[in-house]
Amino acid sequence: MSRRPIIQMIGIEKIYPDGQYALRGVDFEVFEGEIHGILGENGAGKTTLMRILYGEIRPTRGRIFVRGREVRFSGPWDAIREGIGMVYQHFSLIPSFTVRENLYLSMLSMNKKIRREDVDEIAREYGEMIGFKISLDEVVEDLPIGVQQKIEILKTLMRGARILILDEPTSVLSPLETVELFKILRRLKESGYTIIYITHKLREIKGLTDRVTIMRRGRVVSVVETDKVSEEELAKMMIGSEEFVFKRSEVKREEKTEKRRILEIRGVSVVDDKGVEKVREVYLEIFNGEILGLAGVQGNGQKELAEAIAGIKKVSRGRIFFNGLDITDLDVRERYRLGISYVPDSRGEALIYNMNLAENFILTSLERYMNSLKIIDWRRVRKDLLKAVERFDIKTRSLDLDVRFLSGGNQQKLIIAREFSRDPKLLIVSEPTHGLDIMSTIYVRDLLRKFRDSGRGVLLISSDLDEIYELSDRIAVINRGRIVITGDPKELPPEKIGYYIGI
Amino acid sequence: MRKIFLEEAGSLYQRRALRYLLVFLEPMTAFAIATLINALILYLLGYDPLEVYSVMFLTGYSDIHYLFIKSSPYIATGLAFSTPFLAGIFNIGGEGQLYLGALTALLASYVSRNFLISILTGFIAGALLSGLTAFLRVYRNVNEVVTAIMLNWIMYYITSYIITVYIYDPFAPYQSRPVPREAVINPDLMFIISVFTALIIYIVLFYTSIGYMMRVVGRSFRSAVYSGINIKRIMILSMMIGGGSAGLGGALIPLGTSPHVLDNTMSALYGVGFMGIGIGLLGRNNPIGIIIASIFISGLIIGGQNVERIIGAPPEVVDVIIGITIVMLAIPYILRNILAKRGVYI
Repeated sequence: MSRRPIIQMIGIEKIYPDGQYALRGVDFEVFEGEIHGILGENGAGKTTLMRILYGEIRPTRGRIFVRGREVRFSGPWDAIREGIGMVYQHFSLIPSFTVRENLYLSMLSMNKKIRREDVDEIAREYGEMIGFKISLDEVVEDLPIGVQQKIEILKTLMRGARILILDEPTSVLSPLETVELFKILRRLKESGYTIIYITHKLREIKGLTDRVTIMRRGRVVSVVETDKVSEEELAKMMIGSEEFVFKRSEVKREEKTEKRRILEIRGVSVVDDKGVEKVREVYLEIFNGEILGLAGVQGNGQKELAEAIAGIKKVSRGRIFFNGLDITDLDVRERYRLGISYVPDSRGEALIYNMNLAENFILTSLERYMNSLKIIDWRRVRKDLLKAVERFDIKTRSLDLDVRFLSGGNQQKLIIAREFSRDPKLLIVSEPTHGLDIMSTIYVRDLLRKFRDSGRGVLLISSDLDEIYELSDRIAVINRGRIVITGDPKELPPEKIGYYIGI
Repeated sequence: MRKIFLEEAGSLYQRRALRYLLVFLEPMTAFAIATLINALILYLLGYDPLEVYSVMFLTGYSDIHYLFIKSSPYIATGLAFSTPFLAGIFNIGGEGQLYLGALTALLASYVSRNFLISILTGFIAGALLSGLTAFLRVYRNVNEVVTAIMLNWIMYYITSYIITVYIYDPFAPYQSRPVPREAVINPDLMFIISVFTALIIYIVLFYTSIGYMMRVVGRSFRSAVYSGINIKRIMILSMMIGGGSAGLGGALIPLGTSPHVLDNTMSALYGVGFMGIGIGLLGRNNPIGIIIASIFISGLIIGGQNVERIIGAPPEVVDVIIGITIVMLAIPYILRNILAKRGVYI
């Protein structure tokens, strides 16, 4: 490996106009031909740094050198011209277009003279290099996420990128797809490409990268060669050793005196807007005092099932019973009032980003805060909110702040605080720790355990197997809308679950 | 430059003070730029900018009484645009709702000889008309802008037809019979009623559950679905409040301004509904802001009429000046929205 830095970023600072520091003077260096990891928790500044390198946002201060020459990007097109390409977490493909049309469109933006026929040739060439074959006539939205991501990589390569930035690329992939992605990245490295890999997953850093830059709170903590450090050392650097106290609540659980069924789903099917059956004849039960972990790769019907229980989506077949009551025909508000609570995977759904904390706090419990004239008692809202902010340790400057200014962890805490203060009997929670830092993750998981221990039921939907195993009393696996297996975690080792997730 | 300001201001309070200062500085700067552009245009057209401005601003805002009267219907049509806008639905139909409100109020005044009943009739008629637009949008997926524009013209001709055929004044057949004397209101009452309506809508929007639900629907459709808000009902309701407000504005004009008639070209009403869109945006879709914006724009309109009369500039020139001022004042708002889309919040 050559030791020549292909990218140097020196003294990069980024301060947002509202006074928030995203980067506080970062020096960053990548050698040509290496896979370079950037490790850090959410909010550490990894993505901001890379968006600056890709020309999407401008640094407040600092200089950038590519191949020893100083550059100033006014937009991504300048970065692309320097051979820098970004593979997004959320893909930028047009779903209703074919693969060829998408590739053609992206090449056209760089080279107006390109012809449609040329696309096939170039795509084949690069496809062979990374070992990826695809019919260009396929429509993108019909393809699995893993394949779409490969098209995204192919697209970036075809635009002439020599330096690839990947931002948390495995968050949407199944274990098998992750393995395939890593194969592609290693092949690219062999062909002389430089790869910058952003993640907060230690295992991926260890398994893939040559060197790693560890970031914390807008600063670079350390730059190390990956094979010289252990995962524990990486974790300590990432979260700061002084914070590295794993406290897990050891609440003694009283043996359930009587098993009461809180939720019963009988043969439920759900059809999405396009007429595709996303949930197929699901039978599921949740008892009091238990967490049922629903494992599976995202997009296998979890969201539709959760929405069917919450009443957001209508079922096409089957019935749903809550504490013995048939709730299939009730609307969302009536179900919430009965004691069902739903925390969706997307915070943009559970929160209104451009409303303040108080306004967000009453979203699902409006009835409790209005009088007979339908006037909202804001004073009482604030009193309850203040209590919740203290109890759940939500860090905010004021209750009048728009929630978009809160960090992801604090946003998630606000959602959970809101739902818990409604005192629900059943909690459906989807990807509760997605994108949270370690401390918030521990905290949220603790809350779920306490909630369970108080004799209520939880449906935990998660694509993170570690999370499923850490929390669940029973596990169910969903695959293409069907529950393929349910059972006790002790009798279902991860390999077996992995098999059922992947079939 | 503003960015540096905010960074260097150390404490939160200093930053907050600066932000409040910006609320005033921003429109002032925008207004100054508009004035410069207008001066250039006036100069190129052969008018003396200083003379035009002195007439416009000295006479426009000198008669407070007239200013308030003039601004009353604009407050109503500004609310007609902004209330539905906050719930995520466009009301371009303020003009038609205004015509219908004026016509029905006039008819009601003949029968009831009572101003309250007349105003209420205007409100209800406007609400029903906008409710139709919203209903088609919500249940039939017909674009509300298209419906509203068509209804604007339908209302224009229906009103004109009814005036010329059924309720014309035998001594002046191009206009309607006047409002009965018992139903005529003091012009000052127009302003009071408009401001009162704005305050009620303010309370509805920010202190009631219905207003809260409207704002949720307007800001995040997904969150509204998630929380189980009846989106269709809320959209229709917000549109009806808006349309009712425009209808009320229409009712005030014949009841409160002499000669208390409608003519068959609706010269007293024409454009007041459309101006509401600009006023709503200028007032940042906030009822209190709309009151201020209405007074400001009314002053420009009054001043502009005097410019026509005293200096002899054609009305089109005055319209250009007012138009440029509104656009300039809206630019900071638009810029802010563009920046917010890129993730920069100022």
